[in-house]
Amino acid sequence: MAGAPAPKPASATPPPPPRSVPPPPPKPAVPAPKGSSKTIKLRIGRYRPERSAEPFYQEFTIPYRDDMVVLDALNYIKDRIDPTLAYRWSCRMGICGSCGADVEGSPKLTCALYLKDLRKSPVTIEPLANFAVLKDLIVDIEPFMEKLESVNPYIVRGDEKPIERGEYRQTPEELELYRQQSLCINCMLCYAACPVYGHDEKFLGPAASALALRYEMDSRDQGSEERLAAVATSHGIWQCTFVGECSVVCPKHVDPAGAIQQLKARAATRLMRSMLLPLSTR
Amino acid sequence: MATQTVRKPYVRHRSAWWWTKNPRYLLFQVRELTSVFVVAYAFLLLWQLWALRGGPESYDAFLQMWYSRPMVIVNGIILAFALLHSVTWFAATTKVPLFRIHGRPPPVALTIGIYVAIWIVLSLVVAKLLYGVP
Repeated sequence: MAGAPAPKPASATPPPPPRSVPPPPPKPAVPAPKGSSKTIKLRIGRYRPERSAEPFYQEFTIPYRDDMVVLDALNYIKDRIDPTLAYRWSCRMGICGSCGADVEGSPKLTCALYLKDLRKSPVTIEPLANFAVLKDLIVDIEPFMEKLESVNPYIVRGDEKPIERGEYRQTPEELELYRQQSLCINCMLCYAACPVYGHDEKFLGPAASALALRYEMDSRDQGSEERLAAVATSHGIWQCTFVGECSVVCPKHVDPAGAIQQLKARAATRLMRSMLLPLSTR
Repeated sequence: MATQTVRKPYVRHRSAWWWTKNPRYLLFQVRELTSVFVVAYAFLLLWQLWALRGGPESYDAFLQMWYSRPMVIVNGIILAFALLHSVTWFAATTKVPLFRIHGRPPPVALTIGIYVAIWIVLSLVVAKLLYGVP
């Protein structure tokens, strides 16, 4: 089930230095991770609103092992070189959806991308595209949360039965209909990859649409009418021009691009039925 | 004592060349561009009707222009973009499963194959009606 990403508080901000940005070059990284002999240069997008009006890049060269991911590198920098570096992370295993960032221009979960697989030097790490930056790699997720809430992401019942009559049961086949969309971890990589959202922040976007389909396909739900009305708007599913990149970058294979097309088909079918069969129950 | 947080969200502006940074963005833009060529072909057909309305001489002049080398090249380019649009459209339509096999969507290749087969059959029917072939 979809849940909100768990933002981890950014590091405590030290007192402002006497100098303005860019900050002084970092001290050499010591000590190295055990067993490491190679180094990698990272170019990290920084934004420190308390010190400067503009973002800037800062380079770090760190030792690494083959089993280290980008998030390990960020943790290494924060622990041993620059404690002011701010980023979100939590589970380190691709579940919480907190640690997304643009790595070499492509949105990635930093906990799932190995340093040894990065070819360029330096490797550029930036906050997720298409979102306002709050600090360093931390972006403003409020607009995204509002979009999730706007699609009625819960089971709506017209005939709620008393609790003593038990749960609403489903067959495995009924579960399978929405299981794929229910795997979303709200990492927002799809929004960072979506040119339509980059053009218009009012666009409902991929993850919220996939969440809507997840409840549309749920056999227990009876709120299709209101939900389709909420998503089938000019800033909703009809604004999607089907670039498809959201499904490419999705780390959980939710296929939000497919979800939006299925919603379009459902909304169009609903409209046609209402026109051709005005007295039907749709 | 409570502290006050003052946020200063920084909004980055997207480059006008965003579509050059990823080959899939580029393919998307090209797919959108195909509509321009489809519209161009529609205007060519209107031109043909206008020439037909002008009588035999007018239509002969049109056909002479139509079979000239530049127009053949133009039609070739339009055909290429129309094919690109068709193929990418069929690939896109697989996102909406028409039916399910044992509760799961059919394989993408099967869906595209069905669409392409229907497309070819319809094209042959149109060719038969227009030209009597095959």
